[in-house]
Amino acid sequence: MTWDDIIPQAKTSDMAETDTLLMDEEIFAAFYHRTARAVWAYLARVSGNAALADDLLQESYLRFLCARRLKDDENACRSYLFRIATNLLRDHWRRPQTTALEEVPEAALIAADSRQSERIDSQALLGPAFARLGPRERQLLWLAYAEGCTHREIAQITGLGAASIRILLFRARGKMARLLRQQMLKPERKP
Amino acid sequence: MKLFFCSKQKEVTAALRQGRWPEECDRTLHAHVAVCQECKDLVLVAQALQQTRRETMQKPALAVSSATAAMLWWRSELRLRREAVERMTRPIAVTERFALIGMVIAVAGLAAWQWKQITDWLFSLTDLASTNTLYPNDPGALAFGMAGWLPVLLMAGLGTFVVVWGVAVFLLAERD
Repeated sequence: MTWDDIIPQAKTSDMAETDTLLMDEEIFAAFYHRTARAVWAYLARVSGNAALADDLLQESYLRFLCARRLKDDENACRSYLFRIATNLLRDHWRRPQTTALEEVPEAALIAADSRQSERIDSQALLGPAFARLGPRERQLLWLAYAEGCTHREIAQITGLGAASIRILLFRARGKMARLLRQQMLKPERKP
Repeated sequence: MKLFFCSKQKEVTAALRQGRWPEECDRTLHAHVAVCQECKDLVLVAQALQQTRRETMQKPALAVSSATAAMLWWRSELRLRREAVERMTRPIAVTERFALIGMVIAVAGLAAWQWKQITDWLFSLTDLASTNTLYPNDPGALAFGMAGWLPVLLMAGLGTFVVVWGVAVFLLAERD
């Protein structure tokens, strides 16, 4: 018996096992339609890079499908998806070829973002205020107020202690509000 | 920073999440938000983020289509299949590595154990070459200097083989 004979058998048995665990392709398509834009918005706003958000969105769904967590309810699936996206963002920032985001001065970060092919419209509402926050602060604020996650969900997604979420959010919110007010007080630039 | 958690914060957060703020909230809550700095911050930040989320989700750049979902499904199946094959072949790879390490140890052990015989054999080759049996009437062959170089060439060949083999093993391990 050759390996070619053995491996297809293994694959068949494995796929049979997979079929019992995975959701139907149509159900996944519907889930994708409901969640993709929200996950993309999270990735794009937190990273400030639309191209990166595109890549990480695809990888998030691939990992989600391969993780076989699809028997969970919609909220759990959604939460798990955001957790994967958060981990991918963290992995991206930790990669050696790019300096960790925590170490980059915010001014440099804004300048780097502006060189991306498609820049997120940060001049819109949040303006440079959101870009001046740290990545963790951006994650926490987005999950709490844009996605409406509870403190427990945020803890699950970010891997932070549930008890610390309230304090971290309090500080991030205060900082953000201060930056937004400063932004509002600034006179608008003439074109 | 002084930590102050307002008792009305949950109520304001719920109103913001459910989209009830500001129209569907009672006057007392409005009056509270007007004087409470924490709730003011909460409303300002939450409204800005919610508005940005709405705008970002409407961006035409993001193509959420059935084709993308189908492609993701197909790619995940491929990845699952590849992972299954990798799981199946992992014991074989481990066995191969053990066999390789065992072979290296055996060769090194044999060389150490039979070192005297190996050196004797190498010197016998040197002697054989210096007798110049191939061209006994040509003294130029001796001048060629083959006699002294044969063991060195053999050792260099062996060294090259070991280096190439090591690089090949390293590249294989890196690929895995």
